[in-house]
Amino acid sequence: MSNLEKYNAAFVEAFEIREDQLAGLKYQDITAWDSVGHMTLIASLEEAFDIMMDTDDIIDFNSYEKGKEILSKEEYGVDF
Amino acid sequence: MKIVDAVWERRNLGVSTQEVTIEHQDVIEDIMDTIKCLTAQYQVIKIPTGMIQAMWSLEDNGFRYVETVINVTYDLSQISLPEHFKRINNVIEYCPMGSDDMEQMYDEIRNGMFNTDRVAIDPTFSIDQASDRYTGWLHDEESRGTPFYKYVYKNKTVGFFALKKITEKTFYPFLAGIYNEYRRTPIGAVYLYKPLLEAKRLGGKTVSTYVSLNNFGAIRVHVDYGFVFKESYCVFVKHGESKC
Repeated sequence: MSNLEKYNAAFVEAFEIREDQLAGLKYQDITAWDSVGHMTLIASLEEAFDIMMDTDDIIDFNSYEKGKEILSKEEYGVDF
Repeated sequence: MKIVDAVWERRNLGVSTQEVTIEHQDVIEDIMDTIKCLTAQYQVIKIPTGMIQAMWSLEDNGFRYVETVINVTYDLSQISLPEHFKRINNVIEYCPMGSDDMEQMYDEIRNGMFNTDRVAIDPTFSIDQASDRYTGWLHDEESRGTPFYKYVYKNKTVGFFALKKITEKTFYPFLAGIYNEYRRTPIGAVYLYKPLLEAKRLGGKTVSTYVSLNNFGAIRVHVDYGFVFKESYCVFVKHGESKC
């Protein structure tokens, strides 16, 4: 499974949405992506990529696209 | 049944307002006799969930459903933070607000910080009226000496909460919110926890507050924290011509 597939799978599983809904998705755009859903998503991503995210990055992670940008940072090393 | 002339709402909303709170033991005939005598421009009826016949009678008399409100409580002897919120909690602090902080809070409210309450979602009113209602309410609380607190993240104020003591051991965190710049972040995950900590620090045993089903995100967080749902009521409203 590619990193993008893992990334998408975490969203699909955490929010019970379809993959074609992910582009442009932002925090609170859907009911499931609230603070509770957000931490479920973060836990899935940390497990999928075997990383521990910095809390400031967890707070900044406010969209599907922003999440990719954060995980691409050197300390996480996830290439998409 | 309790009937209140909500005189403060004339200042807040610019209309005369009467609020009726119906209790389980009230019979339909008495309820209808009472509501037919209401004269205010804005009439608000709070009725326990489940009193369907009375609700249908309210609808027959021109009242419209606007929200369901749930009273929730929290036992402070069991205080704990859901595991997944601990990391967020560790970077958010809280402290009492000063006068500059109060001004910032009022500015945020005037900019439409609260948009799910029964006034904000009522097309007869406007967001400006809803905001005026909050600022009027909070000015009243401020003048009564109610303490206000701010949430701080990286030395920036990101929101506020207000907490009232309602009995010897019970505290009522009656309003809390995250400022616009941070609303689309998970900081809201801990907006409930800080009032619990403060209530406990002040000697409280229980926290009691209200949450509207129109704010589903807030419901989810209260469930996640383990608040106990105590009782609920539906709110019906009617807008009429001024008769006073």
